[in-house]
Amino acid sequence: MTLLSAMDISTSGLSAEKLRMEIIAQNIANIETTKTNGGGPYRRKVTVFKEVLQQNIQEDSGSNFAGQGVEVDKIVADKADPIMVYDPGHPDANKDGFVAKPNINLADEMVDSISASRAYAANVTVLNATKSLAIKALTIGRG
Amino acid sequence: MGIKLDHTFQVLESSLNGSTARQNTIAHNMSNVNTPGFKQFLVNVEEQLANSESEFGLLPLKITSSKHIGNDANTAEFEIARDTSPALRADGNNVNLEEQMTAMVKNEVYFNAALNQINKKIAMKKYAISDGKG
Repeated sequence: MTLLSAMDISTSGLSAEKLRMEIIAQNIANIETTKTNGGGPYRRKVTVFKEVLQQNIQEDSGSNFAGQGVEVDKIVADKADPIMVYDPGHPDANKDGFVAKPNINLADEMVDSISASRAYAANVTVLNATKSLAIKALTIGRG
Repeated sequence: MGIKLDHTFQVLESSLNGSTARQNTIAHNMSNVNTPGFKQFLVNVEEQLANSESEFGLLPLKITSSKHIGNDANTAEFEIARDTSPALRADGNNVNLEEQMTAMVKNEVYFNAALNQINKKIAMKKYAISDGKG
C-alpha cells in the first residue's frame, strides 16, 4: 500500500464518474430519438458502479485492506416504459396517433450530472491531497 | 556493533505507514461514493499506535516462521475495518463525504507533522556527525 496506489484508486473514481457523465450526455442527446437499431425508441442507459477489491490477497502481505477503487460494472437499459406522446403527424406514430418517446426525464438526468460532477471533483481533491503527501515525502532527509 | 539509532525513526515510519493506509482508505471510500450498497472503510491510526503492545509504539510484527527476525515498521499491520453503521441514503451507501474530507485534511497535517519530525531528526544526526560544525 503506497501513496501511488491511493492515486490509482482516485483515478478509478475519475474514470467511473467520467463514464457516468458520458452516459448522461448520451441520454440527454437522445431524448427525442424514436428510431434505434434494435427497433423502438432509444432507452435510457444507467451506469452500475461496483467496488473493486484485490483478488488474491496474500496472507503475509502485511495488509488486510484490499480496496482498489471503483469500476463500472455494466451499463444497462432503464426498464421503464417509453413515454407515449400524441403526435399523429409523426412518421413513427402508431395507428392511434401516439409516438413512443424515450423514457428519459430531463430533471433526473440533470440531477445525475450534478452528482457525477461533484463526485468527480471530490476524487480530484483526494488525488491532489495524495500528490502533496507524496511530494512532501520526497523531502525526507533534505531538511 | 553498528551505529545505535534510537527508535524515533521506527515510530515515525509507523506513523507514515498508517497515514498512507488512511489515505488509501479515504481514496477508496471517495471513489465509491456513488456505488450502491457500498460501506465505507475506517482506520484509526493514532489509536492503534497508542494501543500497540510494543514499548515504542510499534505495531506487533507478523511472523510466519520462528526464524523470522527484524523490527521493520513496514510490516506493521493497521486494522482497516468496514463501517457497518446503517446508511442514511436510499441506495445503502454509508460514505460520509464531509467526514472523509475532514479526515483527509487531518491526515495531511498528520503526515506532514511526522515527516517534519523525521527531517528534524536527520538534521540533528547530521549536526552530531559533523561534530557540531554543520
